[in-house]
Amino acid sequence: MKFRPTEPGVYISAALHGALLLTALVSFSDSRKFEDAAEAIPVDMITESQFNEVVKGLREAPPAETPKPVVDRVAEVEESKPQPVVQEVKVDVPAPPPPMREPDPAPPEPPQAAAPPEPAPPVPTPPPRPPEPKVEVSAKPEPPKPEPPKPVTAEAVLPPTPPPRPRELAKIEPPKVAPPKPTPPKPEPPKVPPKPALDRAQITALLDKQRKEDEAKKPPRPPSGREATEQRKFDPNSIAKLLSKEEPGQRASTGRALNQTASLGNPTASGQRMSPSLWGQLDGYMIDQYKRCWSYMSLGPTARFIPQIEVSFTSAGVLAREPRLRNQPSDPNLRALADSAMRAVKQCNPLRIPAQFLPYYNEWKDRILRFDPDEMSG
Amino acid sequence: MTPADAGIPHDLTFWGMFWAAHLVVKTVMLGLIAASLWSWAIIINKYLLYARFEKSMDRFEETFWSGNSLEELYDTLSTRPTSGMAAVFVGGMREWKRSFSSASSAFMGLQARIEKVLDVSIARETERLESQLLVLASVASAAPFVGLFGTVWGIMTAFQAIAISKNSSLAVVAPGIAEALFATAIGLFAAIPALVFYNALQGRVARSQARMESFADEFSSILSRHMDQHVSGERGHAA
Repeated sequence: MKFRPTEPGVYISAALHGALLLTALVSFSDSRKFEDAAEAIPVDMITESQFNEVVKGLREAPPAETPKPVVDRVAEVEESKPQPVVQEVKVDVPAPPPPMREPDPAPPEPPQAAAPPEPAPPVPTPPPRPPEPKVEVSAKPEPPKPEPPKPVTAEAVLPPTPPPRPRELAKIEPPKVAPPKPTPPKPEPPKVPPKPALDRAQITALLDKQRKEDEAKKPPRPPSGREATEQRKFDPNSIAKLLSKEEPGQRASTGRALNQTASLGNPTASGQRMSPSLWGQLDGYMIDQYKRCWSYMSLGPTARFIPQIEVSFTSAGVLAREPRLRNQPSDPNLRALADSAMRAVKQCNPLRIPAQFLPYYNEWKDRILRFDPDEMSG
Repeated sequence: MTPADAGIPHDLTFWGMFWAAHLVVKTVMLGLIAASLWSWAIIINKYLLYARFEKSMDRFEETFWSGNSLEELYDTLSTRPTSGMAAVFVGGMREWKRSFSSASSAFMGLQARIEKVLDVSIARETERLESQLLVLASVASAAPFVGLFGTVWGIMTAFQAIAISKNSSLAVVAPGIAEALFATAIGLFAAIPALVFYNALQGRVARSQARMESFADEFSSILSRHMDQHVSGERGHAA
């Protein structure tokens, strides 16, 4: 193609393309980035009653320093939670303890912390213990143990094995028996500290033996911390003993100290609902009151008709709005019945509703009353 | 379009995308832009040409049917380059005059010859009108595929880069894909006008051709009438 003035297409085309490119460069150079879209928040619709039932923890509640589990009563026996075995213990143990003890009927739980052989003599726990062992079963086994604090907690032995009798004995005897017991082990720690655990184990074992001879009942009981730690071997045959024999059911949560502070609430928990028995009570109250207000004399056999009246109450039991008859009868005879029912509702207007139902106001604020002549007149 | 004056390539501007592209994709893009440029040049030229052509045909028809002598018309037209209907007329008249100047009495073949000449002139004019329209057709049909080829190639290299960098977040994938799609965009940019204007121009060519053919038929019938008059005159003269 020759570039003649009659064919200026090339120039025009080039000019157009150049212009287009320029505009494209200008308009594309600032390609906006997408706006950071806010995440869509799913919204749930809830009814008014659901909203009223929502129980939410207080945001402004002063935080407890360390949140503690709720404890309803002090545990008779401390339950030990599995604790990681302290490994460094093994270094100083010279040899496995001799099998001097007789098989313990109530072997302790395996997950107890191993007793470090260097006894950290000034044990904080033993001193307070000796005076204690007045009542508690759990207090008794503790004294002989000169171990560091961990075993103390570890010591918790479930009392499945002992028959009720030992327990009674234990309750009575400890004041006599325990005081002498704790003393021997307590002085020991200071003396023995460097010595290997074996010696002390023997001593405590001997002590146990003596004590057993003294009281025939006692021996099976004291699975002291020492013994517990020595018997770290897991005995598969005694698994059954580890298992709780308590009936399944609601148990008060137990712990070392009472702690009635509830948690701050579960944000997703919902409130209580009326139980069937509560419903029954409420119905009883209402029927009682309406019966007193309702007077209707049946003038002979009529078609069976039960006026149903829709009412809604305020929380004080006052009618929130005009009651409404749901099934308007056509028979004038029955209309009298319906009118009487309406009158009864209005007459009983401030209905007395016990305060115990107040929390459930949402559930009973709208009700339908049925006035059955057969029932009510009776 | 001169790539030399490219600015600093921002990441996603046209220049940035162009310069970041693979060599093959770059070639494809340049080829497509050239095709677009070329097809637009053809479109503009053809529109101007057809406008001129149709105007000249109108003018010629006006003078042709104005009742002037065909000889005079031929004398004025044959001195300058003609186009369209005028060219057809000049071709036919030349053949006519040549047959008479040879002074032969071969009137038998004259009608057929003139028609042939008219047909040839029409074909030549039509070809002049149609020239380069095929370029538009080729651009319209081929540019999308070429652009697609560039895109596929660009996506291929983009995925290779992703595989190497072992990072598949969208921010890594996006520039490569955008740059690859740019090739298809240019392909469509070239193909769509080419297709539309090819159809439009083709229609105008067909219209012009039909007009020339109808003129050729009328002209040949006029010549045929002249021929018959001439023959009868000669016979009368001879008798």
